[in-house]
Amino acid sequence: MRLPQLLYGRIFMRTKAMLTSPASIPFLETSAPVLKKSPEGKRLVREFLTRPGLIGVKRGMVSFYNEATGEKYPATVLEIDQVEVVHNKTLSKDGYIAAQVGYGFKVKNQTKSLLGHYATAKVSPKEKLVEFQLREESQLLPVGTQLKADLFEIGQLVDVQGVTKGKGFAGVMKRWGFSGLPASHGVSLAHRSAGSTGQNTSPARVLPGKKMAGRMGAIHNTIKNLEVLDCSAENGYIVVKGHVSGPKGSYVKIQDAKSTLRP
Amino acid sequence: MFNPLRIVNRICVKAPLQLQRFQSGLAPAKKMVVYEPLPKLRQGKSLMLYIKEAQYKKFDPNGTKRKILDKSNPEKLRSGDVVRIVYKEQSPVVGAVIAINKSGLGTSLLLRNMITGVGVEFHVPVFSPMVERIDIVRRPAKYKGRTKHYYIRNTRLDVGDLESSIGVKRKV
Amino acid sequence: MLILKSMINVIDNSGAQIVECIKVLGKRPKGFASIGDKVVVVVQKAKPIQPGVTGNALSHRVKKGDICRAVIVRTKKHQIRPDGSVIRFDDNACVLINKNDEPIGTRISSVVAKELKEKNMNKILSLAPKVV
Repeated sequence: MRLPQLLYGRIFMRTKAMLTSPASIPFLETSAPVLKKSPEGKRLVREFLTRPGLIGVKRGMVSFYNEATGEKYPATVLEIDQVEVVHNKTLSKDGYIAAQVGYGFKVKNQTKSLLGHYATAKVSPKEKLVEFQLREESQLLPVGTQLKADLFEIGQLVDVQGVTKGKGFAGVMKRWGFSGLPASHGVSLAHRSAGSTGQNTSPARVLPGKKMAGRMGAIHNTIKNLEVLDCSAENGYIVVKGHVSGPKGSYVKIQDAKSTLRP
Repeated sequence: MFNPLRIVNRICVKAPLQLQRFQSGLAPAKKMVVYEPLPKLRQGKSLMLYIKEAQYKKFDPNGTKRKILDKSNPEKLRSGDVVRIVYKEQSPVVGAVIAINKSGLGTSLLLRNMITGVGVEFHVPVFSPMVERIDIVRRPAKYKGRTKHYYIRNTRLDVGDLESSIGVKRKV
Repeated sequence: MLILKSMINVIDNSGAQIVECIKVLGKRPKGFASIGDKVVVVVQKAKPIQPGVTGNALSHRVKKGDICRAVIVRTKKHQIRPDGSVIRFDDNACVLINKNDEPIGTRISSVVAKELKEKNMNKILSLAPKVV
């Protein structure tokens, strides 16, 4: 038996040689395919969290010993203070699903619109707001929920996102690790130079993405798969193994490690 | 996992002065509602101080290790002393202190010894849970004028075979 | 951190005194040898073999110019241990071994590091006068 064919959105079956009137072809309404680059298509491909994470403040580093084995690790202390869900973004209204989470308490220099935003959520004004995008609306938490440091268990892996220290306008040796030019053999005033940036007449231009001197640092950076060594909801802190981007006192996003969410 | 919604008290904060003046002829300025913050953690104590104290309590409950490193202690550990590090599981280590690197819970001693004619140096983390105690075996007659004794390496000032010298002393 | 051309002391009674590293065996990202790693060496300085030494005893001896394998037992470069302690020695030293990882010599004269235990060099550890 021949299978029905899909042609320009219409389904019809040709059983014998015949001329078919276009009007006689029965229409079957099919939904438009999801385009890869549309917002919905991107949502299907993208990795999302299953629950919101935390905002923390990097407070410094300590030595951490494993009591059982005696192993010693460098560890970073992150403070978790007054972290609450301020707002929930939904697919119908905002086009994406996200939990807006706030950190700390700050009244000075708040705009009236933001004060109103906090008042509707019935939470105190916050120092810092961040969003955690989620896959489903059922994963959102009610507005005003307080998130504590025991959201993460000891031993689990987390991703920590921070803003790296700014280094200002840096040369290629510092920024990209170029070797520079020789110290002698006729080199003058160009010991830390990049050297050549490309070819001659062809292509007669510098190719895009060429590594050059420029602003270094002060970019978002995620350190993946950090182990939680210690956490206390009562005293408001998380200790993670290893280092976290940014100076002391900078805000960091802490969330479940995406590698652990993959099947 | 999460706490239920908490009950908050309403307090009113005055609108900015300029805004009030501008609106004085018209309607009264709208007062913004600001909710009270959550109670302070650790009675407002600095987190790093809190963690440091908690860690000291955990890894040095008696305070003996802190006491031996304390500046005000007249019998404190100094560079030039010969110490024996007693471990919980492995055999003890003997060496002369040639440097003390102080950094809170990461504090370590640099010990030097001659074992079978070869100079051996150990960095020993003082607050490691594997280190049971630190015994001061011998103190020099006169301390050197420096705290870091790196310069004694492979000179006539170098430490000898400390284990055998201590062993002889014990027999007498 | 022992690489090509590194001169290493030999602490066994195989007759070799100083050897030169000509190859670091095994894959490692930095390409240098540390405690417990195997290297190929060429004997640069050796004790002369006495005329009385013959037969089986001769198989435990090497002479200048011989190429053989060795395992590093001490390094000047400090070695960090998982418990946070660090160890370093005043010299770089090795023990000559055959292709079956057994020591060529029958005695070891000085201290070795205990990292060899992880590399299953138990024969060397049992021969050594002291392990730290």
